[in-house]
Amino acid sequence: MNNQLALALTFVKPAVPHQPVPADDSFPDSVFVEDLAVVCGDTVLVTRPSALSRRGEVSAILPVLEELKLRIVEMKDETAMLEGGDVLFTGREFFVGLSQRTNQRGAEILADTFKDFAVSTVPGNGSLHLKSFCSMGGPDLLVIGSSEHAQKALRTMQQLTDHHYDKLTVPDDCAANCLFVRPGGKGHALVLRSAEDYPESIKAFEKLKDYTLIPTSMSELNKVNGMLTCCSILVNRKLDV
Amino acid sequence: MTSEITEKDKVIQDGSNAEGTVVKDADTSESKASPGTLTETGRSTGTTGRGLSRLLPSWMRRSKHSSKPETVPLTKEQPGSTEDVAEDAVLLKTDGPDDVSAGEKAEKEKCARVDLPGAAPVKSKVEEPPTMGGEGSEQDSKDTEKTASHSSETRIQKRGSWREYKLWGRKTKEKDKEKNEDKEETTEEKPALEAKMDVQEVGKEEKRAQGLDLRKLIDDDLIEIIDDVSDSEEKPGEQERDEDKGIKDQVNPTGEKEASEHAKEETEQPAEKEQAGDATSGQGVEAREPTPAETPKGKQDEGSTAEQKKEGKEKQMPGRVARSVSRRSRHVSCKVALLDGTSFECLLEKNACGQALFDLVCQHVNILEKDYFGLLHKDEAGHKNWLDPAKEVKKQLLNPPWLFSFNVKFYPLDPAQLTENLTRYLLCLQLRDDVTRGRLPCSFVTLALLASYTLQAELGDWSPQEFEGNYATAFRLAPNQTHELEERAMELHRTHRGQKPAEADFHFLENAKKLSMYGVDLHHAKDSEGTDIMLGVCANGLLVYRDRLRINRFAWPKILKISYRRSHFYIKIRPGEFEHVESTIGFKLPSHRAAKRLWKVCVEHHTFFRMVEPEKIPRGRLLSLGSRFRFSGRTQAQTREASARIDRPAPLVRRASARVQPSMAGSTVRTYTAMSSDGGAATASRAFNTARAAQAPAMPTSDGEDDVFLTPPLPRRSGPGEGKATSEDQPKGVLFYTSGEQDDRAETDSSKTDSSSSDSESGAEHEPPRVQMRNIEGENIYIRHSKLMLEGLDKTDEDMARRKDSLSQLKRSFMEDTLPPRPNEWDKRLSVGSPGRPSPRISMHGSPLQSPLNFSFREAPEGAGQSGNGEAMTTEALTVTYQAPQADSEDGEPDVLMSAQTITSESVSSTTTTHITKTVKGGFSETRIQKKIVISGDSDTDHDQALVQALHEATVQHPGMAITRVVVHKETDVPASD
Repeated sequence: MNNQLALALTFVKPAVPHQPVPADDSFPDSVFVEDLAVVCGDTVLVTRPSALSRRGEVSAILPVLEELKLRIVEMKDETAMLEGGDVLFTGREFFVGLSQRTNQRGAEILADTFKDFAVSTVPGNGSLHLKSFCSMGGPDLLVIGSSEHAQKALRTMQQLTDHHYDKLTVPDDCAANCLFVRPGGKGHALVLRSAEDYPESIKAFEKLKDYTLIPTSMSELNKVNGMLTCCSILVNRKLDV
Repeated sequence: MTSEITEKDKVIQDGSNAEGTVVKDADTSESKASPGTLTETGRSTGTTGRGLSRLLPSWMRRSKHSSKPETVPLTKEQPGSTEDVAEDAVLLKTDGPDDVSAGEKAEKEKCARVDLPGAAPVKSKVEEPPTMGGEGSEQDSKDTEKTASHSSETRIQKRGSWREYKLWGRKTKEKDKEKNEDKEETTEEKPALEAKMDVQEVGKEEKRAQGLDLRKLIDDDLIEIIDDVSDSEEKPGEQERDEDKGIKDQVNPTGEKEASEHAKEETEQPAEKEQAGDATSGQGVEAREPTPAETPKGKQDEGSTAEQKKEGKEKQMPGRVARSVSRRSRHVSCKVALLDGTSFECLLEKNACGQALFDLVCQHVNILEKDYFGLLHKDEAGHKNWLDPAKEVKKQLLNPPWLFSFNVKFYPLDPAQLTENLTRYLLCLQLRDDVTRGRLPCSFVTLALLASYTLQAELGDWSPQEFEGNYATAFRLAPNQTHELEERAMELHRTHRGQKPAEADFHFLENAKKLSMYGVDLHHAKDSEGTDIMLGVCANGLLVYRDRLRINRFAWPKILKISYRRSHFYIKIRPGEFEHVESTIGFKLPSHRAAKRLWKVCVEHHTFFRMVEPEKIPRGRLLSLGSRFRFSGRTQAQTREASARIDRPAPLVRRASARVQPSMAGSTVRTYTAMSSDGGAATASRAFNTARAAQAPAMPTSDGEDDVFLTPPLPRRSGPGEGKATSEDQPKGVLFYTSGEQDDRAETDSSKTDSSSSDSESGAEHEPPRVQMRNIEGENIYIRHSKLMLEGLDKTDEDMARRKDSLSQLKRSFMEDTLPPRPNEWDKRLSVGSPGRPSPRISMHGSPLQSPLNFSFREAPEGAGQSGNGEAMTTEALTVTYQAPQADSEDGEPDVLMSAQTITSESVSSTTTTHITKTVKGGFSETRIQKKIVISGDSDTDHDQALVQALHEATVQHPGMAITRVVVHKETDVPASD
């Protein structure tokens, strides 16, 4: 867990200055938030992971968030459970996967925290995180795995949304978890699993035009079911570092 | 049958006692159903008769014996002769019994008696008080309801033909727009009918599936709209129809005939209505007849009336007489709360439709893109309902104080597409309200952002001198307004520098429209499992929320049918990619009314946002089983098209914010108050004000004005022009008006905004229509430093107080600043009462042109003032102008002076000189009223107060006028001169 946390930090710091997204840009400006926190705009919701063992991590990450000068909202409700891995922010709205690690109450608190956005719930898949089979691959581009539960979740999301998203279906669920960034505020770059990990899926990604693909090997993390986005919290914030 | 009864009544009145009795019996068969409805019956009679007569052939064939007799008489009735009717009645009587079993008959008779008293009080008195009516009625009256209902049910069940018939009669009746409903009737029959309806619905749905009800949709939406059959509260019209249809379906296999019948009936309607009217009037006359002797019946009569009232038709009139009178010439005062916090009052004809009122309001608000708006009224339970423009207002409200609020009904998905800034402004006001009331939740950041745009729109550019301290506190910006939020908003306010109010509104909307709850109309409900949920109706469809979370969503294209029954609301879902069967989803609402409300809102939203044109109201009853309720307004597509054609100068936007305006910097000092307006505007305002005139009697004071007004050159509204007219007027009369709205920060307005073309050209005045814009330039002129606001009459005390405060504050600052520059001769002049043309510069000419020098400070008198008054004039802007001497020079060339009046009045401490001039310039006539008020006193404070008061008085006196500028000149003593 320390490893993971460290990873997150490395992402945060360098990534931030590179992402001065104009405020009126409706693209997924802030967010990929992993389990410990959900960041959107200048507000961060510090979550309550279901596993007691992980709650300690939260306190570890707080200082970093404070340093980012985010408005910090903490979940106080004892009954609430929420992990960032279940929260998919599309830039226009939130989807929250209800799972063993995220419950209705947690989602409500999320909705209360980010009132500007619709928060829709996606019935869960047991222990899987929502983002273990999908993620945003760019503005209005939803990358989704092709497993049955992934497709089911996709239909649910399509049903619930007012917006239209393009979708990119990739053969491997895990490969659907990628990380979209805009280095320097321009261009589209996608941090994704390397070809060694998922050779088929990378082909699907290669269809994307004007994207810079950044394959990353996650073989170590993969052993513990780690995902790309798990390692990062994306923050749209200029750092005065 | 009902109809017959009425006729009988008439007859009876005519004087045939025996017949009258008979009639009663005849009535029995039908009359019970509608004891309370005499009047209605009377009216409807004609209708029924006609309709029936035509129908007869078919009916006869189909109908059972029992029906025959009736039909015959009815046919006869048509001719309209009372005698005939009587005979018919007799016939009926005889026949009726045959059909019915003895027991039934007895029952009927009972009922008949009961009903009669209530139904036809008059006749009973005169003729046969002792006989039937007296005994039976009194005793039975108590049980009336029960008996009646009982009997009716029996009847319904036993004789199909009768049922039909009856329904028919009722329908017509209702169609006739009779106000009186029979509660009893409805209630009675419902049980039986509903049961049948259930069965029938199945059939209906099948039919629909077959595509009977196809509508044109933009996309492929096919939504069937089905109304609940059991709508007790609704106007019978809808329900009954449903019921009728259902019944017909069952009873008459031959749909064709019925269809034709319908057609006939429809065609006949107009005539029927007339007849109904006659009948009513006739009754009215009768009503007066009642003599003291009639007491018992009279009571009953009253009772019946009471019932009727209950039913919500005519609450106000105690007796029949009253009712009749009311029908003729009754105006009801309506009060409509507007978005800017002011209210609009008017007298509305009692029978007016919702549309009439809505139009009045729109006129007052001066909005052309009105299809996005609607009038809300609260029912007893506090639920808000949209006023149906197609129906009479009185049918939709229960209590006489007719209170409404003018609100946005359909939130445009893209406010940028609205044509006029005024529309956007109103939408902003609505959204501000939504935000502060928590209906539109938003995050802190968004709140602050929206608030900052509000500040920008209302206050103009931030500047260090003008805005000190927490000026945001004066605004209601958020549900829980915190200091932090205000700080943030003010911070952001600074970044909006240079935005015109209209631009600020625009940005406000661009941000607001992205909010997830934008335009979502929420309704409490429970799902099939009893979980509390919220149903949100919006432009795109129906959203289902549990707590704050969206758990489902049904886009309009996915919905095949929406319907409600009792307190349940159903949507039928189009089979999708993955489901192959249509599914119906039901929700439980708190009440029947709630279900109906939700249903209506859905129908309206779907129609407005999804259809090219509103669906025609189903005509043939046979084919459309649902309610006749349809959205009657324009759809978004239509309204866009219409607004694309709007061709008028951008209307004035009168901002109604509380402004806090601190200081003024002025150099010169002259004091005078000039009120100017165009004749046209004045007139307009007057017209508007009529209603509110009461409040603002001020007009009289401005004696001169009246004359002026008469002459007004400008045509008042017409077609598109109305808006224009107003705007035009404004410009002329009051240059500053415009400014108020759009560029508050007058200083440099480049006239981008609506009023765009503003160069400070006085020339503008010459050309009326286009001029307006230029006039606006005037705006530029003023600098709104401090704003003094004079309030419209409407203002509340608070407002007044506030203004006074600000005013006095202003004054103070004035005095301090100003004094040094030049004290003037205002006293002199004023006291003297400057005649024809007072020192010119000051008053008229100077003002518009001088822009550079003056600081005018216009307060858009906070909406209150403005909205309060008529349109144009509504706002009373106080412009405090410091004029530099030069300004005057500009004006050198005067207009053609048409007339001038000077009136001087004095009070203890002040002398007021009113100078009214009417000038014609470039074919435009303009009326200006200059008031010079000389206040003499010792201390400054005195002056301040006096000035405040004087300004207020001036405002009140000339409600139609706007104050374009106020120049305060303080002199210690010495006269100065310009």
